[in-house]
Amino acid sequence: MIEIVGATPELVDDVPPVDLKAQLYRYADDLTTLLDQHLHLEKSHSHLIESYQHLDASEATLQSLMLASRDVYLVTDLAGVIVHSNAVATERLACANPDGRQLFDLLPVADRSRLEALLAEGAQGLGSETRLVLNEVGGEASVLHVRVLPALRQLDGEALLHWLMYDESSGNPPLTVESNAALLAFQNAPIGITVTDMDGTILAVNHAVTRITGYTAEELLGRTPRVFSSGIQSKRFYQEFWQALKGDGFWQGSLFNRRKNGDIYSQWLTITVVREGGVTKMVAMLPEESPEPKAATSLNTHYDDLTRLPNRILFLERLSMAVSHALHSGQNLTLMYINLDGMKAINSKFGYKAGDSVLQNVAQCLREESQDQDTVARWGGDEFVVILPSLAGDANICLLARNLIGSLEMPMHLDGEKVRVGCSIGCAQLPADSRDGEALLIHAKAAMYAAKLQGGRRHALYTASDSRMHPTEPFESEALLEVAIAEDQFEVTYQPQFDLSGVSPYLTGVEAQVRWRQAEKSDMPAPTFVFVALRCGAVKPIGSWLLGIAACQVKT
Amino acid sequence: MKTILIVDDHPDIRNLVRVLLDRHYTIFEADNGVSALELVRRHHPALVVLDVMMPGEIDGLQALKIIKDDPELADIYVIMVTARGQVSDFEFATSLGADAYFIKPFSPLKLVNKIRSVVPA
Repeated sequence: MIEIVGATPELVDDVPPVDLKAQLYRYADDLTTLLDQHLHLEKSHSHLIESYQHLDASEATLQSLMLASRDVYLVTDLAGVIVHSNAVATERLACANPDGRQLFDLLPVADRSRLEALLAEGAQGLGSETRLVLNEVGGEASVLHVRVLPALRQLDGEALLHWLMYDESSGNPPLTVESNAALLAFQNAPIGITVTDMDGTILAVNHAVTRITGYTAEELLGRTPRVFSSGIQSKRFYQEFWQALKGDGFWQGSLFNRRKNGDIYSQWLTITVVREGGVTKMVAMLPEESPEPKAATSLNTHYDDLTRLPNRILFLERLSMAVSHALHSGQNLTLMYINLDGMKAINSKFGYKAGDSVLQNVAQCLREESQDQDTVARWGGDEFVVILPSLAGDANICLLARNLIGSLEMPMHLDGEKVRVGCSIGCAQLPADSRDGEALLIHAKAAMYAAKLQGGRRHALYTASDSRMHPTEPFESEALLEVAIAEDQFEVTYQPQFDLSGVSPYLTGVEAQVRWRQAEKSDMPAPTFVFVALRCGAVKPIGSWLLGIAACQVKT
Repeated sequence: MKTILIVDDHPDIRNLVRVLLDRHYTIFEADNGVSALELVRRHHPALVVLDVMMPGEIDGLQALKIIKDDPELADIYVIMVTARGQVSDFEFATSLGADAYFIKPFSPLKLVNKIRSVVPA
């Protein structure tokens, strides 16, 4: 077969003979072409040399990393034949020279199909991660964490698989925390922290988690939070839970968990999905105590936040202890019920913050006036209670009460203004008034109302007649009174007043009396109603309402 | 080194072809058909670059015919080079058994690539 090179013969028919010059031009042409090619090749060559140098460097780094690694590191081809391995691999696979051997033959996995699945995924260019159970000869079964990363060999572009394996029980931390400080903070945080992958596999837990759940970190790593499941939550709950996590990347709420010892407890949980460097993890925060009030820390359960005084709960505990101690030892006990006068005015004039600082001052003052064996507590609102063991005798009690009122009346400064806080104190004694703690409290409260009705800024000892003045609950009454004013629940009756000092009775005037008719309750006794009205500052509106009504009725 | 014969009546053309090849091949040169055939018989080159138009008793085409008709020489690879580039020459050379055909001015690069592919250095 003949070939023709150059212009086709048809086109060059009858052209004149070509001289040397024309031929030299062809040489020059080719020379230019060749020079261009040469430059191009030179560039490729230097790139190639450069990349080989990088390759050398990265190869060296890789080698040293592989040597230094405590993990099994292997490179296989897509069929699973080992191309490269580190010293740990040699040791772990119990094979002096694993290169060239089939990985499956060396790794005593319980479930070979999972290994094959990893290989198949790797062959498709997908990285994957799993846990394999190893059945080692003469050894216990252990769990191996395996990560497969597909990679192309730079040299020839051959597809290879990198295998990274570590024992989950070896204490080799699967989650690398960047610095010791961060690790320290993580481990010792006062809140339980669990890090899982998106399948829920637990990657890390801190000390608080082990305290809360009763499981050790080793027992939890590699498992899922399903070990905590109490079985109480519904499927629907978990569906919504996962939906929220996948959609919003956040879930917060309370669920029932089971501790290792079987206890079921309510766990408040905040889960955040964290994406970093293409890896997604879930971080769950578990407070050791639920933030619900009943499970709040003991300080908050027993002490009042504002005044740091014992609260109602602790007070009642102390009262019952003091009562039984007094009854047992035959000693006396006095209970004082203190209600501040004029707090409503202070709150409305200076604001609730100022009101709070008044309450704090009062608490401080009461603390200073009390002795070690006494208990000063905040009953709520502007009411305080004091248990005074072994205080007895009307004279002693009155002296102390007057002292308290005096010290509380020391002016306080609010917004540059001097404010005086008065108080009404009711006192009840054991055993004279009652031998029961709760009854003592009620009696002391009734006595306080009596003091209040006498104008406040004074004390009163309990007398049997006080108990009928005890309204259901002052706050409730205040609310009712407001409704009453709005709904005209008052009724006015008139009583003629006669002067009987003369020969014949002489009508001096008519006394208008107001009664508060409550639809569902019997009429509130006038003294109580007046007290409540006084308390909540409703005397003036009721007074003017009464004047209006009376004036109208006089006309008719 | 393998042997290549360059046949052209123009010494400059011969030199231009020679510089392309003499680092890798043993080169013989002839400026007419008679000397060419003599060298072919004496050295039995692997390849001949043969100019079609040559003065003298035997021109390129005749020399080609003699080489290809001789069973002892017929295996020699012959590249015809011509300035005429006529269809008739091409067809005639083909009928005589030419292996390749270059038209002047030829690309030295293509010629070298052709020769190297036929006769590896």
